[in-house]
Amino acid sequence: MLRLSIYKNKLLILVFLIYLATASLAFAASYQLSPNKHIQIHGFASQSYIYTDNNNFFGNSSDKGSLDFRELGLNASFQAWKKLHTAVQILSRRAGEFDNGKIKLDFAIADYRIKQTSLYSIGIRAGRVKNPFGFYNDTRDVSFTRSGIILPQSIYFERTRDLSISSDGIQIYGHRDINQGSIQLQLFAAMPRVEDENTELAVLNGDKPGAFTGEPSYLGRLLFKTHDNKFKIALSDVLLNMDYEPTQSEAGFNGDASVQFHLSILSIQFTYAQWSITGEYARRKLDFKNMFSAYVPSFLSETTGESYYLQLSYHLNFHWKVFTRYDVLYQNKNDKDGSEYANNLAAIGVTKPAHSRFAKDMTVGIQWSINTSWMVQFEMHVINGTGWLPLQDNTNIDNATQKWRMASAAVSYRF
Amino acid sequence: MIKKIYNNIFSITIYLLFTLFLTTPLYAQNLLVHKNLSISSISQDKLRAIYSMRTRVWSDGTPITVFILNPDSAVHRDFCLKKLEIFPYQLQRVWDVKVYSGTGQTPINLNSEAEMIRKISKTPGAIGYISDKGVTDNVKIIDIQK
Repeated sequence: MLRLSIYKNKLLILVFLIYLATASLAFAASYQLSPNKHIQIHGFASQSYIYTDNNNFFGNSSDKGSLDFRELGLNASFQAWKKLHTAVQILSRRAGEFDNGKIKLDFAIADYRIKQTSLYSIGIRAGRVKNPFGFYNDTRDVSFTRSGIILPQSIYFERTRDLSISSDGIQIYGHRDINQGSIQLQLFAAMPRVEDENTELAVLNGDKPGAFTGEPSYLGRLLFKTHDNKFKIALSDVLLNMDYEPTQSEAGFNGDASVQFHLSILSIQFTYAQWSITGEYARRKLDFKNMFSAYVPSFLSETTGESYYLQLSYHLNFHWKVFTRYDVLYQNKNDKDGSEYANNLAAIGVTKPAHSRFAKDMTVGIQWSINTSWMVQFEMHVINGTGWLPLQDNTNIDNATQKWRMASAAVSYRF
Repeated sequence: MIKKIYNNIFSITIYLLFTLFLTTPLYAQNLLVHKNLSISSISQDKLRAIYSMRTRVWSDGTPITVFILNPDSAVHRDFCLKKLEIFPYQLQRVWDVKVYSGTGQTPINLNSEAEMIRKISKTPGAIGYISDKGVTDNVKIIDIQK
């Protein structure tokens, strides 16, 4: 019954998408209300095929491959008054055991432009707003804006996805154009979107009886780019707070349990002719307070992870792009190979593989943009380590294979 | 088997070379604005900020409406490469990020140069471009200063 309703939702979205695609062909996706007011409707759809030789990524990919990675999105934006811009997006995402395709509200924003001139702007956004961090997080579910079929998992990993994509709160933003380019700043105070099971799996390695609740959290991003778009640099900082509310069955808590996640990212991109080099470096500090030691052993109560990647892309022409990427994740920068982790756990009688604490992914890919609406992608990954392997798709993750490979293909459409 | 692979590689290479060197004809271009705007020229950086949908008002406070022709058309590509000196796919990405993060809108896509002239003449604060033919008195041609 549940499955049926999932398909019904998908079918509805698909019908809606086809309708809008047809409508957009006829009228363009922009409806003029008055000379300077427009309603715009945009959408995207993407279907991927993923095959892994070992381990699973988005569904049962190691068997015959998986078609369980599908993204459908639809958004509308509308300038209500001269200074008030509104935008809404709904998203249906099927991604292995993570996401079942249920329609979710991705963002719903009221954006008031306090001051706007030809050189700068200051404004405030309220509602469910996309979390601004790194170069890609704000649009991570739109294949056309990604750097490949999947984003570098060291930074844009799936495990804490629900916390990452958008939050409910208030954002202050502004930009200023200078001679060399433009500076943009976003400051966001928000309540994170905690989704019980996925959050517990990501943070506590299992679905526990109690529940996490989101606490006020803060995000900020400062970005500079040159007018010609050839150089971009961004600094992002995220401070995410959650409390853990235990149930009565969870004896052993002696105070308020909480988790603080502090993420800092430096992002840089250079473009020269058809070449571009993109790199991002991230530090992730995970801090547990008063957490039940059976869930988080004391030696893990404060860890700092490190992630980085470097991607080189080349546009052969308007239609073809090739890229290569090297992507590295360390769950603990002081225990990069995970040996201390495995040994410390072994000492308390728990067996966990050291390779679950890191991942090094070498990727090559090719992208064919048939036109502005259609895109086909293909990519290959050679991966050492299981640091970002989805727990949901790999129920027996402690027996996961350290060295694995993944090939994927995707077709995407947007209007 | 080897021969088949060889043949495939050969045909893919030919296809790539073909698309790579299939050059589009050069279109002389006119940058157009609504005739009530008091400007006669614009800097290239300002034009880039406007086409990136970042600068949304003219210096006199009039809201800017940005028009483009079909993004897959030779005229649009030529406008990006020759006037903005930005690759069309880079500009497209800037618009995508605005639209799919809910922080802005894309330029308005028009079907023909005749429609471009008609829309610009009817929309105060409008900006657009056409290849050099068909400019009428209802719109104003402005220069780009690099």
